[in-house]
Amino acid sequence: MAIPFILFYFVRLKRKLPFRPILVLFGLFITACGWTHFMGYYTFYTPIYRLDGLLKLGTAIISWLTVAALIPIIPRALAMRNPEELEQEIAARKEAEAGLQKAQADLEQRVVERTAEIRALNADLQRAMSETHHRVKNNLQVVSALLEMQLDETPDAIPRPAVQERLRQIKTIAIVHDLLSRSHDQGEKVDAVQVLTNLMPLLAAGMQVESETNSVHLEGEPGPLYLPTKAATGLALAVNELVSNAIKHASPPPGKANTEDAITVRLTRESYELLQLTVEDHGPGFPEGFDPMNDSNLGLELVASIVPNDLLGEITYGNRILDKPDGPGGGRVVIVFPEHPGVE
Amino acid sequence: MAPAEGASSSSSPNIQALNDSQLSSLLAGKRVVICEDEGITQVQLIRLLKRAGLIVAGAANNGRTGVELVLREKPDMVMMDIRMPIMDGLEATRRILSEYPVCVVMLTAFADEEVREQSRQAGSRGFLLKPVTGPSLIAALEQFYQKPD
Repeated sequence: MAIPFILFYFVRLKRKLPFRPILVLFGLFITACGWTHFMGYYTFYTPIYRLDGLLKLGTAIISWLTVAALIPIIPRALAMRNPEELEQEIAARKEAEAGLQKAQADLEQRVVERTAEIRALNADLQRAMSETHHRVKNNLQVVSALLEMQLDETPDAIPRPAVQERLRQIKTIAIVHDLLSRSHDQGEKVDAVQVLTNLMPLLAAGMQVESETNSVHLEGEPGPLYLPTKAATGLALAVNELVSNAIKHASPPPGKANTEDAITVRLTRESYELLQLTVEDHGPGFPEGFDPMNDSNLGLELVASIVPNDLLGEITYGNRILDKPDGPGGGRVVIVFPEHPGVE
Repeated sequence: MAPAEGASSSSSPNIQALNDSQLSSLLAGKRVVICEDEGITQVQLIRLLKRAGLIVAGAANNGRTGVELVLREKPDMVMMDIRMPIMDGLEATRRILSEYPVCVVMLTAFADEEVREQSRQAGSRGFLLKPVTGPSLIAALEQFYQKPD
């Protein structure tokens, strides 16, 4: 009887035991078997065979019930894992969970890093935007200054050629903006050769207004030759003024022009750090000791200020060295300026 | 800061007076140093100031040269661009005013509150916002020049 008692005690305590009814049936079966053995002994002295028969029938019924209950649970019992298998599975699950946690931590780290990168890019973009706004505002100041100075020169009515000159100055500034908007890899720098190349058709168009006998061409460095925006704008404005001045004062007489009369704009490397811009014409040239500030010429006054301030360079007004004593002469303006004006 | 600060005080009676005579009775004969790194703006300022009767004692295109020029020339007034290479206008103003008390007027493309505050702390008398034009420039300079320290 001890076995069924232990079974019942175990089942009672272990509420979540699998196949609990089967264990109860086992307990009942063993108990019933015990009673049949006891009845076998008892009927030896007292013939109560009817009760003995009933007990055996009850045992048989419990036995069949146990069989009936066992058959359907056999597949489930077979599928049950032993403790070693369970431990292995737990270890595998723990490993998978650790892997998952590491993946999550890596992902969070990547999110943090990417967020920092995006923040840095955003800050760069803000700086670039601020720089662009500043440049635009500064150029509006320049345009405003040019118009106001023109208004002072001709207070009553601005003559058409003067308006055309101011328009050319505005378009010259726009050339630099146009190139800046298309080259994203050089930051705040722009190819000076490209600026001057794009400026040539603008100057040529201006020439046709002034005189059909003029032409202008660019030679020198093949480029690219990157300059800070301010220096590139200053260079383009200076070339614009110098070529305009050459057109006004050095145009050959109508009908006398030939290809050698072209105005030449030349950008060359003077030394490792210095660049040289030369504008040559075939006119009468500059008188000795020429001072642009005493010439009451706004264009040359602007050049005289642009060269030291925007280009940090020096300008010399002179005349071409003649190939032949009786050959064509002409003015020669030379601007020497640093390639990297921001570097001390 | 007084609301009159800035060059856009179009209601100022001085503007009409300037349009008539161009000369500033208050500033005529006063010496001024310009610190401005842009050539064309420098030419414009020199022309405007000369026409109003001021004497342009010199022009610099960076803060460091500006400080040297002001301390050497000892002008009555300084026009100071903020954004300049080598040394900005705020630092140049601090250095100038630590050695020589003078009316410094800032000149800048952008004047947000932070820049205005920095400018005040540096000791400038006022602010001019680019683009500047003649009559409003001279009127504003007169106001700043009369303003107590």
